[in-house]
Amino acid sequence: MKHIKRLLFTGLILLFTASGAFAAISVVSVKGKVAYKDGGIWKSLSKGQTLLEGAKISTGMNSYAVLNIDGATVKIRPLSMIRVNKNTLKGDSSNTSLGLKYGSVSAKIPKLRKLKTVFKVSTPVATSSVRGTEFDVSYGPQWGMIIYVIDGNVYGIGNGIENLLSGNLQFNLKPGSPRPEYLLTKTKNGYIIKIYSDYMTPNEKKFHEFFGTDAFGNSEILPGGLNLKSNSFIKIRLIWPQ
Amino acid sequence: MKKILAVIAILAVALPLYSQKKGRRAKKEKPPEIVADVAYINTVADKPVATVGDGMKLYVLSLGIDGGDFKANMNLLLKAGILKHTDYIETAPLRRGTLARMIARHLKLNDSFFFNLFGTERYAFRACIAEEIMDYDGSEWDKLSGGELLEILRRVSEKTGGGND
Repeated sequence: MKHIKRLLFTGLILLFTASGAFAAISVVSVKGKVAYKDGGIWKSLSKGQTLLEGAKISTGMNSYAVLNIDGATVKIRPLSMIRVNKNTLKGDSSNTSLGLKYGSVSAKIPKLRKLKTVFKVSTPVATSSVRGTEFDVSYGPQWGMIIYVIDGNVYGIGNGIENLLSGNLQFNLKPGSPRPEYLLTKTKNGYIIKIYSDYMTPNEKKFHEFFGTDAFGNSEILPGGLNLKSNSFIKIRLIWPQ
Repeated sequence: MKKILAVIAILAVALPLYSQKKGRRAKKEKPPEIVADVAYINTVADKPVATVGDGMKLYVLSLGIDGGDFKANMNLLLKAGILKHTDYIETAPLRRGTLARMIARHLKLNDSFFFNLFGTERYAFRACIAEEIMDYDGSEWDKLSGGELLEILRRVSEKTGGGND
């Protein structure tokens, strides 16, 4: 009798351990047209559904899906396709890897003391690796992979180069490009609006503000701009935001 | 003791099955066009060159309308003021300029003086670059791949607030 009890108990423990190894991916909410691929066929995705490792999820126009993956919240934005490449939960460590074929996802990974979390989003050009943070990742053939960090730290890894990103830094690696763009590009674009040379008159500046670069065709030199030769020095006045 | 263990064992097996069944039951209530639209988007994503027909169908879908055939979609876009004329061929490759002009007319990108003045594809493309909808690398004559078409439409969707709560 004792022997049977022991066997039953061991069986139950094994059952629970095995179910824990396949971590939970649950659909928190769905808006619009969202489908998942099951056995090579697209099927519509619904709130409350559970998905397994290997699932492919695709969103339509103006649609999104929010998933809960081992406590992490992942929002799959419109016109996106992801695959859950890996999702395991063993003991005190969770390992998730998402493949973003095209589109955009936002992820919020909570800092849990008891759970060591490895969360990766890979695209055809690079990978982002995260711990305890919030970030957006997008990928498309034109703009490449863009990682924008909202909170915490994210590693952007492309072509063997690892970049540590934190708030307001943006990682952008275009297909075929050997290295990502300058990490402060987003910050620069947000604050330094126009750069003029001292040789531009106020009227020319107004003209440029109104007509933009349209007025100057494809020319790289704006009216009043400097034609710099090699070994020249230029004076740049930076007005940093308060 | 045996009974308790048996109940636990049944629950452990039945709960995941119930959760999957619940999902399946909910799926039946959804109309089949959801799956058809998503499957179509994924077909377009893999195309090396998107067609004018693809561009128009996806643009109609982005307006929240379930479009019809090519002519019906073209007339819908003409009525919405997104197209200027209907001299398009469904199977022709979709060029960056064609899509740019549709976007510029839809989003009323009036900041570009020259697009306001001439309304050409060339200046529509430049207006889309200024709005960070299209990349500066290329020309209005470039053929768009399916992936590029989706990427551009996703940026348009972000501008118009599509996919927000």
